[in-house]
Amino acid sequence: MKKTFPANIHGTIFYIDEDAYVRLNNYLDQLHKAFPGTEGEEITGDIEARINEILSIRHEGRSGVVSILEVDEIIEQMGTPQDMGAPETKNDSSEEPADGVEGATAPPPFNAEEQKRPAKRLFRNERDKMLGGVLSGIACYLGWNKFILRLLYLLLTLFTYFWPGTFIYLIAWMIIPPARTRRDYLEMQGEPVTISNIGRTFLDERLASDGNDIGARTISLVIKVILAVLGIFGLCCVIGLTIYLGIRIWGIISYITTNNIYLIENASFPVFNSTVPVLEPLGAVFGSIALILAAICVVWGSASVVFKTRRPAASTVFTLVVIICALLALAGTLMMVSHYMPHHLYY
Amino acid sequence: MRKGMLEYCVLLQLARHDAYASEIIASLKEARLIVVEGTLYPLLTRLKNDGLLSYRWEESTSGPPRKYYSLTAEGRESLQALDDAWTEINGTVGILRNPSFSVSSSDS
Repeated sequence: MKKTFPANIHGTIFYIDEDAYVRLNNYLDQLHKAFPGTEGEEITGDIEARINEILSIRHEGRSGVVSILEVDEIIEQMGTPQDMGAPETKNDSSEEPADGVEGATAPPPFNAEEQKRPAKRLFRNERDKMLGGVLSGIACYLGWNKFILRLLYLLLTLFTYFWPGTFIYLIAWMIIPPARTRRDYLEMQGEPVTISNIGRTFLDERLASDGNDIGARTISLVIKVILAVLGIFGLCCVIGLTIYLGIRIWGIISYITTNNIYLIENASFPVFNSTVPVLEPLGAVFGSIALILAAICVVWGSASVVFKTRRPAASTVFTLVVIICALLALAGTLMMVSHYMPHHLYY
Repeated sequence: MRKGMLEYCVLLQLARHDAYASEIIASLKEARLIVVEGTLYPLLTRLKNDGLLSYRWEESTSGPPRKYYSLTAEGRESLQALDDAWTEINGTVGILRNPSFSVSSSDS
């Protein structure tokens, strides 16, 4: 939450955040110092008029609040007093805190390189995507060629056992946020967020939309087919595992109620050849629940891609992954214990 | 050098038609002559104080009134002088840059 108040910038009222106000005020103060006298008055007046104009254009039609980011952009656009060819006066004036303005500790943001290259952020690039824009976003982040990365990924995925790449892709899709605003897109490309850059992205947008060629569509289709196969496989897994789960639960119940060990012995994994009748099937129960959940995730994920239905939320996926891991750990522990526990302890 | 260029270009533009600061900025940016917009304002003020430019206030449909700059007679004169100087420089440099010119110029 920020304190906001109306400020009169060259005759127009703008609502401005407190921090933004402080920064803008500092900037104008510096200009006043750099350009003294009546001539200076006129220069700063003109600059203020220009700032008014820029803000008017940006806030046209809606009653937005001027944020500190906007002020920084404007200051960058206008330039420092030195940039403007002001006589090189006491340069240390930028160091001293603005007198009387509360919380004016922030240094002036227009110190040359400091702001030039903000850190890149990883987003899904939905403007240039085949499925979810994951690889496109990663390519942007790493500064690689999108096509090469996609090809590499496709080859790696196709030629690995069980296609782990598809799982990774689905998880990445759910976890990496999509770039939504123009600011996101600039940050994705590691470009400074300035007004001129924001304007430029409009053009890029147009150009990018033209670039969806046949090659891209083919790759997209191949991945969709893989995901469809994976989804069907997942569905089979869900059905099979549910039957298996039923058998194991039935086995435990029949052992407890009628002391009949037949089902447990026949359904057990040979590896864990039951030394302890209950622990191993219990482990198998947890294990199969975990696997069913995982398979459901796969089915859900691939169905959402192929049929373009709603994707599971990132938080849901996180929760499911945690639950699956916990269940698998529990199942593993139970099976290990049942395997290594000596017979005589039980009987 | 660059500063002189900037002055010249501003005068050139105002010779064509009167303009206010943002218009001048837009065209200078297009021509890649300025990086930061602030550069222009001290320049305009100085040119005005030197008597080369004058301005009038004009109401705009959106926002506060704008300062429209125009060339004064003196401004036209000095633009003419700059034009001549530019033609001369251009001719000289053109000769030096010409590949057939015997002395190769590494410094242009």
